[in-house]
Amino acid sequence: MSGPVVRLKINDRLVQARPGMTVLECARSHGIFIPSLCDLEGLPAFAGCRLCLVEIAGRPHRLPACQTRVEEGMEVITTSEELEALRRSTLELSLSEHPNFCLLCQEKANCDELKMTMVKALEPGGCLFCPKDGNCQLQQVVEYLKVKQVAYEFEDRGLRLWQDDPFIAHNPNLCILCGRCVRVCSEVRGEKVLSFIGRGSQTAIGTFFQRSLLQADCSFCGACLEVCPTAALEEKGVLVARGRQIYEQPFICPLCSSACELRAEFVEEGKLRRIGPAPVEGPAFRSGCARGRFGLREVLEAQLTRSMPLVKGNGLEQPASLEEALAAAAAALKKFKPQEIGLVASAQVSAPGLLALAELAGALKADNLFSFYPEGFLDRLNEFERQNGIRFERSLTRQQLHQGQTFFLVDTDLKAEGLAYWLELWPEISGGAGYLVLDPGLNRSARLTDHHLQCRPGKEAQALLGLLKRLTWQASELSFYHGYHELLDSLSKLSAEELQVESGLRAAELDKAAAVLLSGHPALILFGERLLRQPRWRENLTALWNLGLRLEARVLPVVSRGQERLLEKLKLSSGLRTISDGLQLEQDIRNGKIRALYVLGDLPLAQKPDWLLVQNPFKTGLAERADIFLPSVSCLENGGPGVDLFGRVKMASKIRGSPGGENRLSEAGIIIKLAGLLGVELKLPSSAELQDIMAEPEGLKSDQELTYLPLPSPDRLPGRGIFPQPERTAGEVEVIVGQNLDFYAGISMAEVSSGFRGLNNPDWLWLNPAEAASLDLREGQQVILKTADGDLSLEIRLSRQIQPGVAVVNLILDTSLKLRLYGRGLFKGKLRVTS
Amino acid sequence: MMKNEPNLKDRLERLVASIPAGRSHLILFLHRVQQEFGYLPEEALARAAEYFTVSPAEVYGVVTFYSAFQMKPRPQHELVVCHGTACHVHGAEAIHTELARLLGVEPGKEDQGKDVTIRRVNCLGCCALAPVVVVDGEYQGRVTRNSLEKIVERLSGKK
Ligand code: SF4
Ligand code: SF4
Ligand code: SF4
Ligand code: SF4
Ligand code: FES
Repeated sequence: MSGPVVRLKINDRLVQARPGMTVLECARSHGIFIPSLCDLEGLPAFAGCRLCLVEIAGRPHRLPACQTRVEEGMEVITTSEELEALRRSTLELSLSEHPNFCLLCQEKANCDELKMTMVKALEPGGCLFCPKDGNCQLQQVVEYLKVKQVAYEFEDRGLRLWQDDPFIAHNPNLCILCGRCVRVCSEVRGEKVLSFIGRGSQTAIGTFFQRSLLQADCSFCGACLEVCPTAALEEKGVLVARGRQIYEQPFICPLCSSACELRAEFVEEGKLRRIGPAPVEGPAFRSGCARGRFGLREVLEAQLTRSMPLVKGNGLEQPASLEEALAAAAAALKKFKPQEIGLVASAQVSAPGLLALAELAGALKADNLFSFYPEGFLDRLNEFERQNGIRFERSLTRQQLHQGQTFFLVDTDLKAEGLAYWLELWPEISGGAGYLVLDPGLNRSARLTDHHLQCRPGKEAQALLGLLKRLTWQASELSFYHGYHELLDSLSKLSAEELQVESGLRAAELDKAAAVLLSGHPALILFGERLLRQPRWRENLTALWNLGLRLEARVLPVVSRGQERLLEKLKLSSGLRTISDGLQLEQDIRNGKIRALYVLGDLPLAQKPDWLLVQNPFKTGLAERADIFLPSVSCLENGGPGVDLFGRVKMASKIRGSPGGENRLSEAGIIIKLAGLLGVELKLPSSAELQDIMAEPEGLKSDQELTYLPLPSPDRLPGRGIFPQPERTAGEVEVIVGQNLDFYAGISMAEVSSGFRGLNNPDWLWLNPAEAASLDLREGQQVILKTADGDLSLEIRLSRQIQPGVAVVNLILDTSLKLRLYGRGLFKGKLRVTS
Repeated sequence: MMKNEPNLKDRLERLVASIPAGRSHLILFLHRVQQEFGYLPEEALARAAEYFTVSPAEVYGVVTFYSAFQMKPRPQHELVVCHGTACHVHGAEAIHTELARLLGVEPGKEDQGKDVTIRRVNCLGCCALAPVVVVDGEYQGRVTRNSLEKIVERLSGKK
């Protein structure tokens, strides 16, 4: 053990601990079991279950091990006749309200033979029929304490089960009120959906007015499922494991830049049982979300049949072996000239897949290498930085995040697109650090805070300048860099009044927000892709850069996919280009510039080239029209690596292999093999080399001179006068197109899962309730959104977080129209009720 | 609730304005709301969560923790039917059923959103007067079918 060490004795054994550790943690790290049902790793103790009481020499009372910190020379006794008796009587209280026939059954050891008779317990129920059987912490503790009887008569609480929600079910009659779910929901996830309700014998876990989790705004992150020691909180639709072997397959979730390590569980026959977070860098409840654990499961379940390679010949589709399909592909590719071949990687491909495709392009000497990147986020950022000779930061370590004293989120919903950052920031925020969110749209991370600045859509620059105007005079940091006087000069020419009217923010709101930004130094500013996915993004960035510099703050983008960072690196070294919509590509196909196309993944493309190869886990969308279809393994088998928000390259833990797992080629493996047939040997970097690529210093030298950027002249400000506010015709809305990451390999989660549709439906159009009422629109009503580019059919959904005159849609980009609207980011639309 | 009480929002806002936004004032605020409305409307709890930046679930937890807080409007009239032994012998059950019939309240269900509740108690300790019904706190002894009708008439008049 490196670093300072505390020496103590547990049960007469000399052990070492890190200062600050609890006795429970220390005992555990030395393999000493202390029963505990309410502790949560890394969180302040709750000390509610009283099962972890230990004796400490010299202390008059027994103390909960979860709450007591180790001290030099401490002598701890974790087990004795007396302690176990005390624990037993404590546990009996819980057991008197928990179905306990199975727990106390003297025939437990023979249960497998006896249970067939069904007469073992007087009533059905108990562990025998419980999904948690065999994997239950309450069972373990009962076992350890050898509880044989319960002094109180069993009392069934007879409470109603919660079964209305997708993915999560709650049986309050199994709840032992350990409080873990409540704490993980508020203290770790910052959702605060659950609470103890009632008192005394009536106490239960509940939500606001006992609403369903969906109505209580639960994010379905699943953390509560992870911590519940009983089956009181259970994931729905999980295959029972009883008696069957379970195989685990760790993988890196490809769905967002948090790159959580998840674990897929299969039962013997190779059927997917569940997907859950893996405890790798911390406890499992600190990673994973609805998308990764439930959405992905539903997508994979919807694709029951494993896809076969297919080759089209004479218009007919023929199943083929991978070898045959690859041979056909190699033969076909050889027929085209290098400049006629295009290669496209979609947004969710693995890092090795992307690198392999780039290498293949190089080997073919094809100069049309694209990545499909509808956000275009880092492209714009890079362009801006190059033009202005500045450089924003790209990623921070955990420690660096915690150094922040004030956090400012601009157009980013960390809970949805940067969870790994959010989980670090939340304890700071709830601990009282300054916290401000600027976002005209929906933002889960702005709930439960009174510092949500909602400017008019597209008026972020005005809001930021309104803040900057206040800060220039108030901030005490000496940030007098080059250009400061010019900045002061331009700012003084901007009328505060006008900035307020344009941004839709009141002076008092801006004052308060400025005070928050100044409340702690250093400040950390995180901005999302929506700040740049709008017409006047340069002005937004200029204002943000100046604000950051004035505050001496760290300013960085939140990329929603870690791959973006790798793309950025690749672009510097290879001929990779990004395409944000299919237009240019379609045109190149139409006029014959590109005749053969290799698509890795899926993308919406209206124009089919002469020859099309699609490599994707599922035969969907574009793959339907391909001449050759090569099935990739899914992300479960790909293993990684993935690049995360902290800029690290993450590999999944050792893969044990799924049952019946013939060794299938990885995404990159297929490309390497194809290259082999074309006579080239591809060499991909190992994950260590990949880490080196990621770590390469980039952009400007660190000794670059910091400088303020000149402000655009007032009439160049974003959207100035474009939407004069009072003259809005009824039914006209400014639409913000949000980010929707709820899809995998071309399949939208909402499309295959009714549960997911209840959570985040890409067909929802969010409106302000009062405005909807004034337009005579109800929740659930179907409407047509008319836009200059085309019409969308959507369903009304209400949120008080939406301002009047604004609508939010979170489209899945499965058509060129949606892609186009997404690219615009902001547009005007009219609502028509569908008759 | 909102529909029946158009000024609920304004009354709430007045209360909000009278109390500083610190978390520690949450309970005081809830008390004031209950004083003002006689119960805690859902809107008030949602507003409290917003104003004190506490989660709605926490507010609900607090409210259900203290039995003094009530989340349903108290009915305007309360009838208590004694079911003690003496009253039982004198036909308390029939009286209960009849009262319920006259008032159009489902027996046994105490809160139907009507402005009347009928409660059953085990014994009021005035067995000499059996059968006993308490009307808005007023004891009525030796009730008969006739006097029941009068009671109900009076209540409807009072409404
Ligand atoms: S939660 Fe655990 S103890 Fe309770 S019935 Fe299920 S398996 Fe048995
Ligand atoms: S799923 Fe997450 S947000 Fe929902 S109740 Fe559980 S912990 Fe809270
Ligand atoms: S639901 Fe589970 S985690 Fe929550 S209090 Fe009950 S037993 Fe504990
Ligand atoms: S989608 Fe993101 S946050 Fe959710 S499990 Fe996957 S990597 Fe983690
Ligand atoms: S684990 Fe220590 S009191 Fe529950």
